[in-house]
Amino acid sequence: MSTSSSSSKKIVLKSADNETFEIDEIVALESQAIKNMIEDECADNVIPLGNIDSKTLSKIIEYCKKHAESPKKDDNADIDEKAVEDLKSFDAEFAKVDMPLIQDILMAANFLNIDNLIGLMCRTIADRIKGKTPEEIRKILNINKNDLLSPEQEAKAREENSWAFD
Amino acid sequence: MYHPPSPPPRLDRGVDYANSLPDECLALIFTFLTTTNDRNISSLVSRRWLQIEAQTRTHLSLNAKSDLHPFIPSIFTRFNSLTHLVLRNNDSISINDDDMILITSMSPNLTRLKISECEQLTDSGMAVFTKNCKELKEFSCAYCRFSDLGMFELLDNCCKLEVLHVKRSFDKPGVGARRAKFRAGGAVNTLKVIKLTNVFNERLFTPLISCCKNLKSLKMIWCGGKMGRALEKIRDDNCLAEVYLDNVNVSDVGVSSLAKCRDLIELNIKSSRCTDVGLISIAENCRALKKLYVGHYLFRNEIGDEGLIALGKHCVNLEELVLIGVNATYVSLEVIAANCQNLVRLELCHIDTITDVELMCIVEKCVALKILRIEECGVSNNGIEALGLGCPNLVNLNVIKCRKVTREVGDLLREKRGSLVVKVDAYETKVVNRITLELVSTRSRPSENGG
Repeated sequence: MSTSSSSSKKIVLKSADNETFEIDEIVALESQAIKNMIEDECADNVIPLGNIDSKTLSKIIEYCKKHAESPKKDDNADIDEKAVEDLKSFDAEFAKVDMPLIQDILMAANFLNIDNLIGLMCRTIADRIKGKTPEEIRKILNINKNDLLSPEQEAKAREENSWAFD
Repeated sequence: MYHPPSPPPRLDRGVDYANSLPDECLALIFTFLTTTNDRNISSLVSRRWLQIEAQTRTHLSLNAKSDLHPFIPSIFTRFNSLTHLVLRNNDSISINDDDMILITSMSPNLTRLKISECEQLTDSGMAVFTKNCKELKEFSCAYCRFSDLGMFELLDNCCKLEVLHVKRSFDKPGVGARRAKFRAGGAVNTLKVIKLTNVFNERLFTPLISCCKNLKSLKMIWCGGKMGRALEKIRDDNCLAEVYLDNVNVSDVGVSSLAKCRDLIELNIKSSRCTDVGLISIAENCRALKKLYVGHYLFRNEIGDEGLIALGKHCVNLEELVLIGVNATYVSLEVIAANCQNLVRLELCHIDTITDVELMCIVEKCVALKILRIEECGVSNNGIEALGLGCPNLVNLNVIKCRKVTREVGDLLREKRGSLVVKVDAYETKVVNRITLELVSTRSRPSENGG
């Protein structure tokens, strides 16, 4: 998959399933990890990402492209409110995917160190578990049953919890 | 070719991937769960969740009745990262000094502590537990029974204290408190905000307000007795930027002494009696004022054109002005409108002398104006209609219960200026049906717009 034909410097990312993605350097720089690699000059033209599959990687690139194009908040104090709104609705749309993909994106964003995306995914997960029971949360996030609280631990935690209020 | 260091394990779909989320991601998820209920439920999901949720809980509000006692060790061992703690008792026997000493000794990072209705806490308890609160920046107490002595301990021991809120405490000071010599310790250098609600203790707070040289904000709400005199004791080299008095017994002398506050930006004395004398001395001295709320619903006409002209002459930085029950005419409004070119919000309430003539002056000269509220004034439809021609930045217009204004003028304005939010709450004179009238008045009650 190749992107724009502009003359800017290109970076190629290679997914776990050996698909390559050519992107503008400015898009890649949204990832602090890639930025560090480039700055340390230890990145070749092709950066292999052996732990990220192509489906996840293409979502991440979609996100980084949009955010690289948008004006940054600290650049200009009074940036267009419309641009902010636009980015917000992009983020909201972006997060409308199933939970396994959200977690894959989060893991990959964490690995690539893309702060905004980590925040967006964590917020999305939080929104989906709000108001749910512990059992529902385990199901939504497919949490391993090996780590459940013992009945005694649960009773103690519940007792302590009952003293807290909003 | 660069190879990323130790990639995380490839996730298998359908198997425990939530368990592989790094701790820091899980912690971040918890920060987005803002209700206690959601946090509590999360803690029951798994052992790891229980542990990480507790580590990331920085804010905790607890029921502070005495029965909390046996749970204190386990609760505060579990939540060992607390910075904000609220202890609120409700109509029962509260936790005592020993409990409070244990709690604070287990929470060394508290920056904000709020206690309410903890009537068992005493001065000697305060003397010990405040020593555990070295990082405290904000202390708030309501309906507590310790005296001035306890407060002295707080001020002495919490050398980083910036914010002090006191609500209805010190009702019955003992003999010791009456005789105690005032001392304020290190907090006099750090205190920036003092807010007192229903406090009648001028013995403690008058000297405190006077010696806090870095005080930026002073709010007093329903403080009777001689609390208003505290204003007279404000030091000359103060740096107060905000003063808010709501139902405080202040004389014109007290108000005039605010003239010492050269850095004042926001002043709200709309429930205090203030005359032209007070207003003039404030206007001449507090030239940085950006927000002023002045006047009184009951004590009308104590401020007139003379005071308001001084305001318009000297306080040219005004951005928000709320005038209630003053005797303002064209003569003073013209000065304000012409000089205060940054005025974005103007509210004129209960002023019969504000007529179409005065409104025309606003229409012509208040270019920056965004919000205008006119309540029970003498303006008519003609004046309101003229707003269609001036004040190019106006976005919000509220006209409330002006006898000569009818609803139709609102429709007319909306037609002329689509972008303007107009609300006309007309004065009902025809009593057709009592119930209808009540419905109308509840439905069209003006909503507060900002500020």
